Amino acid sequence: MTATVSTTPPPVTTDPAPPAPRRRKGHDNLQALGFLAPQLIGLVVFMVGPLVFAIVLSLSNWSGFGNRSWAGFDNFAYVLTDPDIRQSAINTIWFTVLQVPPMMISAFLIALMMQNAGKLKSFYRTFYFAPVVTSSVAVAAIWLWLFNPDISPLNSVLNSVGITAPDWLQDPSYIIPAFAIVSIWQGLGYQIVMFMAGLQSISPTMYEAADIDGASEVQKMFRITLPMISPTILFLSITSIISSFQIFDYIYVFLDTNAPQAGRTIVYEIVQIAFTEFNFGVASAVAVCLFVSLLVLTGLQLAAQRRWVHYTE
Amino acid sequence: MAQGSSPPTLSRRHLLGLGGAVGAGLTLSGCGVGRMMRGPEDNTVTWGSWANPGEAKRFFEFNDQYTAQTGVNAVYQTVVGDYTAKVLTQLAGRAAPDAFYVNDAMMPTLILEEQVIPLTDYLASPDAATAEEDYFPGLVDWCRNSEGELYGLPVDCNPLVIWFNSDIMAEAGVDLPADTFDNGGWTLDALTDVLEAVKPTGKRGLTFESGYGHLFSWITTFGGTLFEDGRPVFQDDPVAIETIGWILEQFRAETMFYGGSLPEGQGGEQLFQAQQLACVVAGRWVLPNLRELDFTYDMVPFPTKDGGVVMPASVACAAMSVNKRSVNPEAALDFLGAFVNTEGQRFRLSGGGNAVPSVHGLEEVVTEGGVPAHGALFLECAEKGYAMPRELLRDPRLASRFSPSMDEVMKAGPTDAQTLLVQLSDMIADPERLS
Amino acid sequence: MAVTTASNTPLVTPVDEGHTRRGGRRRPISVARIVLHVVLTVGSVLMALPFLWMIFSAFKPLSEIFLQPPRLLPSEWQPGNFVDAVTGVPFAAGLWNSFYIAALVTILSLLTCAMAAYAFARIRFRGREPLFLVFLATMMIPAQMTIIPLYIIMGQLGWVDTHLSLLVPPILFNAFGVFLLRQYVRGIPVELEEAAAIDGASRARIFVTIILPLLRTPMAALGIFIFLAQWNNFFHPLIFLNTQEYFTLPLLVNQFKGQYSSDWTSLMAAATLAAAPLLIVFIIAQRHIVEGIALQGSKG
Repeated sequence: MTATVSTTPPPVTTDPAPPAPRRRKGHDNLQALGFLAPQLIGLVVFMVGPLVFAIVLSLSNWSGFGNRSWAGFDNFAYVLTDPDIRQSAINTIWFTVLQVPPMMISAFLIALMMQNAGKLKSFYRTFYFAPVVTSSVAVAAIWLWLFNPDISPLNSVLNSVGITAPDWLQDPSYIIPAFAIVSIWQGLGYQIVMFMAGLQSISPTMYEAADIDGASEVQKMFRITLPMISPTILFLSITSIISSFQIFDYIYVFLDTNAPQAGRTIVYEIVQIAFTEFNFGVASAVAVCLFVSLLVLTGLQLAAQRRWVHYTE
Repeated sequence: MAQGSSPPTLSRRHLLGLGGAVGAGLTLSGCGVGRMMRGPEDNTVTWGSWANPGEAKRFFEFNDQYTAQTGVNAVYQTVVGDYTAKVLTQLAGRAAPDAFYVNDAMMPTLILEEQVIPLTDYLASPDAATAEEDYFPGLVDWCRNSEGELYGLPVDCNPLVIWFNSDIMAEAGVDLPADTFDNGGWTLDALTDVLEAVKPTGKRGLTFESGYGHLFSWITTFGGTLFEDGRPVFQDDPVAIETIGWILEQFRAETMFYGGSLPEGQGGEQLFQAQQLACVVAGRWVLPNLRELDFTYDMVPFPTKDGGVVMPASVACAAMSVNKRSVNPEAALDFLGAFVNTEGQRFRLSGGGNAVPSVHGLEEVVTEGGVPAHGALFLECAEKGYAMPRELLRDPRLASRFSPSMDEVMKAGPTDAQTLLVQLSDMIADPERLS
Repeated sequence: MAVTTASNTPLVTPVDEGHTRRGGRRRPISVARIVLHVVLTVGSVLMALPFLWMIFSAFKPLSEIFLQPPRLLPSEWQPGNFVDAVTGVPFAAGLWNSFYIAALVTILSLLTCAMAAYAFARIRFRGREPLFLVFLATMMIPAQMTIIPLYIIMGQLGWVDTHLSLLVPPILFNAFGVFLLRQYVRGIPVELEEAAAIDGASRARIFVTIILPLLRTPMAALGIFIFLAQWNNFFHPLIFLNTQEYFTLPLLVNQFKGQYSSDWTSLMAAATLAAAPLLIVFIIAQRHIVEGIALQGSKG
């Protein structure tokens, strides 16, 4: 059935892109400033200031106290050539690949199914949402137990169906997948809620019209459902890629400062280099590189949105 | 959630500050009186440490007692979560407490960057509440700079020992290791016998974990030498090669298991608490949890050549130091003295504690309630043991990366002891080799 | 597996079709529906098990937490763990601190977010697109990287160890909220505003009388997420607060995880108590939340 879905070519959206609203010609700089003022103050004081500080640090040698000295681009040269940092970057990308698409696809499918679940809808939704409200230290305690190969019921289940259960947190090839599992478990409910909201906003009249035209379920999916929830997809893909690139909490609560190289991600590396190795210059340089990569990635997603995101303007 | 009757933490001062901030961003309104802007005349000492709820309660009691005795207002800041990040941020923001806990990984940098003050003058003064000689010698060295000047004193300690499950021993039909120790026969052969007897019970015998603590303890307990002239020599030490070779042999015989590099309290300790592991290497910190479990247990030092003595092994240690920027360093030093000295440790550690005194003469703390039965040995382990060696302290990367790097080597499946030890000593000699 | 099932069931059953089905003549229960409920139930169980394990562990004696083979339900219920949890740390104060900080941040940041979202969506001004990208970009800065300068700023303001350090930054800045609300403002038909503008209404008036009412439901939804994020916020309280009485719940829960060994039963009890208020609110408010996120503009 998967094949059926993927071989059906997405039909070209027929409705013309709505014209961008241009209420008045010219700029309203002053009025915009009025509306933006609180957030702009916050941006400058709490974000841009510290960011500039971080950029300055990335060009300095600094242990966290005492004097800074100018380092030029040495820190960046180190970051770009260090094999450990490269490995951490690869781990981070691997985590994103394992986490973001499976989470979004399963959240979307579960949301679709829940739409059809009738009275049990809110019952299911509560269960899927429960992990979202659980604090990370409890999540870590629970999953440490689930990931311990000697006492884990998870592994008992896997073993009983004939799958050799891995030593999740100790086997280098399973450590990143283990983090992906926990974070999907914890984040799924949130995405389901977002998708259900998107689905509920689709007007039933659109499906009625499609039924009159004799459209199949698959056609309705690609002509109506997906275009209509595309703003939700864009929002979730941008925000979840950003947060998956910043995965740190789980690794820290599971492995403290002892994470093996196979389980270190970029932000974990930043925190370790800064706070246990007292090398804020290199840590800031890594952070600046992460920042730039995310900026480029998000810029690309925003540039591409014109081709597929449908706003009901 | 009706907490309306709780003290209103959102005071008028807060609200004013909030309004000011929303209205005028950076304008410093009425709330700009920071807690750390204190004058020297202020009779207050602030201090900070990590603590679990029980320890925190005890620390507040200690404060009350101290204030009652000295008239100095002691203010305690408890840090939960990432201690280093918190203290480092406070130091960088020049708002760290007057006295605070320092762990081994932080100490060299704090000394080098002159963030903490030397204790030499204080200890030499007649009013000093404590003296360097009170402390077990192996636990003080890591608080010195290269000239030997002291910058902190150990608040307490936690020697690594072998805990064993007496029920599993009974099931395996072997003598309790602690009894064997009392009879002077606690040698490597005796341990081998225990592990071989445990194997048929289906439980695991013992784990060996990554990190310098486990590695060094196994070497020094048999009289091996770790360093000479600041360079690692254990890779050529016949005792070290023999012992590590024995461990690798046990791996092959499946009587010992590699336990990975999980943080303290997990991995082997979790298995031990689940009664799946017969013996585990850990400190006294496991005791509060063990007290609540339904099996009998005891502890024994690492086995030795002689079989009836305690030899040096690794001791986990934290110290208290005084902030360079303290507005009232004399008061902070006085507090430090009262906190770390024998009386201070007696107050803090008795009554269900999870640590071992770092000073002589507090046997009652470790024998409290007769649990574990051989608890008195903790003091001897602390007396003979050693904190993190200076050779590991010279580069912060060693403290942070040695354990995961060793983990990689261990997982790659070391062929023989000598190769393994050479790989590990290379990392210590040249931190660039750490992964 | 999930994909197969989904394609077997009617992929998109609009709400009204469900009504006809329920209201119409009796139909045989379709295989697809059974499969759908089986999949959702299995999924619910998988999602809920770790959570339930936390709740049941909170009632267990320590020996049963490590029981082999593991059992979900305690054989000996021990509610005393909850007493340990609330007496071991200043729990009541923490609950109140968490609650009022989260509530205040939620209400005020919703307002600032809506204002900024409106500006980004509707007002033409110089540098709008680059500025919006800068807003998005700030979401990409790891919090750990800016903590030292932020701490220094807080020190300068005298806000260290006060709740202002936790209140003001999220109120004055929330890129996520601005981004989310902007998506909704863009969905509001522009004709509504044009009519008001012709009547001579100012921007501020249009914002208050037209935009804000239309954004009410998505703001309620965003509010829940802001509240949630504040409720679980750990890193900033850890760095900014020193006095135990000012601590928020996540700090207190974390305290049971000791430096070397953890008090698992009290930790589970404290974590359960910290999660409970949110879950209860979610169960009560979930309809409102989900419908709130639904794009208003397309409902007409």
